[in-house]
Amino acid sequence: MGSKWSKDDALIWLSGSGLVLCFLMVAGLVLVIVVHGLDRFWPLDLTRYVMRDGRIILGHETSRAGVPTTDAAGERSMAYRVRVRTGNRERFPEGYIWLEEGRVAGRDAPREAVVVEQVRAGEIFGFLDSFVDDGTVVARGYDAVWAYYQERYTELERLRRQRALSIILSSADGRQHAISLANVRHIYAPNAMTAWNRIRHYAAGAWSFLWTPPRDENRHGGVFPAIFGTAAMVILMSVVVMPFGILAAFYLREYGRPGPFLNVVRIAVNSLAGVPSIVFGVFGLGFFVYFLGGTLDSLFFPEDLPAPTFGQGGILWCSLTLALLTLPVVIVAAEEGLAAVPQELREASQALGATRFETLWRVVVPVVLPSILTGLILSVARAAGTVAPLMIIGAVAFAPELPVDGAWPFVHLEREFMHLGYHIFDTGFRPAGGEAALPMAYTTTLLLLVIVVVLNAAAIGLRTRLRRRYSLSAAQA
Amino acid sequence: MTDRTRHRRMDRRRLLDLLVGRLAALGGMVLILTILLVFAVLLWVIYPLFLSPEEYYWGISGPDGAEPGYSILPLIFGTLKGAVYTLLFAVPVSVLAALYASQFLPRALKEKLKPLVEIMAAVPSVVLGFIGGVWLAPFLASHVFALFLAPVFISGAVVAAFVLRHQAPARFRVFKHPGREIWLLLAAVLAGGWLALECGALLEAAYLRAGYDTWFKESLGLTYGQRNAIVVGMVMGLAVTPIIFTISEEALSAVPRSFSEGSMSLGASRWQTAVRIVLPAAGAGILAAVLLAFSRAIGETMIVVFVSGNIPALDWSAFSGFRALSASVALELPNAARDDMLYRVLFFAAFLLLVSTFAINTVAELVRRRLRRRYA
Repeated sequence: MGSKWSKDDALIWLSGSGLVLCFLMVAGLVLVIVVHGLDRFWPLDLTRYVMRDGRIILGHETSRAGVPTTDAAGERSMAYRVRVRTGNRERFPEGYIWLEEGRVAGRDAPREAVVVEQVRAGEIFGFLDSFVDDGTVVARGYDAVWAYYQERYTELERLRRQRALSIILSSADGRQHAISLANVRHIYAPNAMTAWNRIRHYAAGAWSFLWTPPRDENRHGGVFPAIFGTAAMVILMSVVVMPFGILAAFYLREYGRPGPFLNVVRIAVNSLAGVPSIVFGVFGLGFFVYFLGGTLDSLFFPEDLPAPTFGQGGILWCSLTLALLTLPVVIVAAEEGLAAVPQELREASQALGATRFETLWRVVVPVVLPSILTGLILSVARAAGTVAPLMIIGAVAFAPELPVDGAWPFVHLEREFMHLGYHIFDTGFRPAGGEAALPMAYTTTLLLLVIVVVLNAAAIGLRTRLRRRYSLSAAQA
Repeated sequence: MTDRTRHRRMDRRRLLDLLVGRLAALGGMVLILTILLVFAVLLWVIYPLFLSPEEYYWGISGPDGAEPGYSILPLIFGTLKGAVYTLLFAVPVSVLAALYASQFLPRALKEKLKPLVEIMAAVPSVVLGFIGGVWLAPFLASHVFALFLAPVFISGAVVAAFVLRHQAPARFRVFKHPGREIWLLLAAVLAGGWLALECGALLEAAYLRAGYDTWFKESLGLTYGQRNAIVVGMVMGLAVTPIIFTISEEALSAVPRSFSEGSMSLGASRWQTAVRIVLPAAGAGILAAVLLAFSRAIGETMIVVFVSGNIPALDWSAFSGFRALSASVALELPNAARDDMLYRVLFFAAFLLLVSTFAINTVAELVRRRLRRRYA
């Protein structure tokens, strides 16, 4: 078209930038989650900051910020400061400090600096000083202590229950901490690590994140109970929601005679889909927990009253509430499948003498099954990401016991449970463990995002294949 | 096979058919009962409020008991404020996006876009809320100038890209296929955003004597809350964008081809046709989309919990936070004793959410149905 163009076409481009902007913003937020969620297990180098006032601080830089300042002469400039993660919560309760860059006299990365991961009270950064066995020093200096610890690791594992073994750690400014070996989970020297060791460290960290329970008020450890709780709740919910959803879809598409009742059912599905999730939570509390649970308690567990058994939030009530929430999802997906089955198929089957149910069961359902599966996947994804109702009816920050375990009756439907989404809320919003819990929250967010996106992508893929098949068979017919 | 056994088997088959039919009807019945039950349970808990003196049910305890006795009105106000800022961000962006996708994007590209939008809609609100409150709010708080500059710079960059693309000699012209310009757009938006950040930093160095807090107080007489209505608008806007986009796109695409063909044959440009003919014709559908987004924003909980700051207030300032009904219910109900006054008031808040979303959704559905009938 040569160079002929009108101003109007520029407006078209501007309207397109709305679309691009939305995707970029979402992509940006996802990128932030991925980066912050993944870097958590990577062993970062420890830097020693020597300040002009003589303080010495060991830690790693997490961010850098510029603050505009005005000095006495009225001269404006930017003062930069770095946020350094310090570990050692006894001395730095926040877990990090801000250092003015102008006051840093020097920095280096000593190879002997170690990170001690404690079972309680988080990490401590420092230098290995000596190893004490029942009051006698058996090793002194970095190399000796390190060798002693490495060589006898398995032996120490056994011994630390019997003898008072401890490691003396000196912090950057020379103070000494005695750390009982029973409280040591892991020691590593990040600055001396090879790339391969770092990768192994990373993999071990990621593995324990998935498969171990949280420690230290959700600041460390893993989220296994939350994964388990989410899965258990979602399975329980599916068991409830699938039959009702499929039956309702059958009614709407196969059995229901057009009339006022059918319309009312349709309106009910639409209304149910529009109810905010928090309202379901409130309903669940009033009806399931206090009414049904309270009734169950007075009928079957009167000896425990006033301590509630079912009359408090628990996994069963959460599943039932989320089943209501996801019912429209299942119905809509199943209905779409039913609508796609050609009417001729049903008529042919009924002309051969089959009843409506036989037609449904033998002819329609096999074709519709993948659509129902799509509905199931979508509802599971929805339930895994819904948090608001769970805050009210049974998800907790830390549950000592899993809802399924070896104690009779094995499945404990009345128990409170941990949930990935709630875990994000708990660690990300006014966390009990302070800022130190945020990295954990980022990783959990990434995990939840991956689960939900994978489930949705699977459902979309399945549906696209189905649609293609139907349109193909329609074209052939 | 004798006649009798055949008869009996026939009966059993009929019976089964009847049974399943009844079961299916029961499934439908359960749905209706559920909706009724939700209303009934909420009303059952809140009706004592209407019997007791008025000051009781307007009173609600503050967060951590810090501000006892503030009323439920700031919460209603907060919910509305959040929804309004959400729509202020989401409506222009997503309606323009829908217009672009339905009128100017090639079909194949549009089909590729749809699953992306669907996945965007599936991102859990706790994820958006977390990242909004923990990352975006502090980021924006330290890049306020860049935030102000961004709209101007981004549109400027897009226009510049357009001019460059169309003025360039033919052999330098990239992305010739229709719709491929979207990659150029992507680069332009990114460049505009980056420029805004850089210029924002320059402005900071030039004009800021201390932090933004001081600047806000001295220059604008406002207080800047880190978790404020702008951030809520952006994050919740992202959550409702797929709703508005999908429904408006559907409505815009449903406008008969003859409309735009007629318009163009009379000499109108593509843009004039899209804005003056297609957009008004799909107006009802877009209205329905906006209403549905509004109702979603009212009921949305996790995003406001994380991003709104949760401090009850009665001002419309874009730079201050608020406390919404839904967030109050989520944060306070776990600590409310059963049948306590607070418990009932929070149920009342939930009831308000239920009734308002129900009403808005119904209106949206009616509007949509009318539109569908018109072009059916």
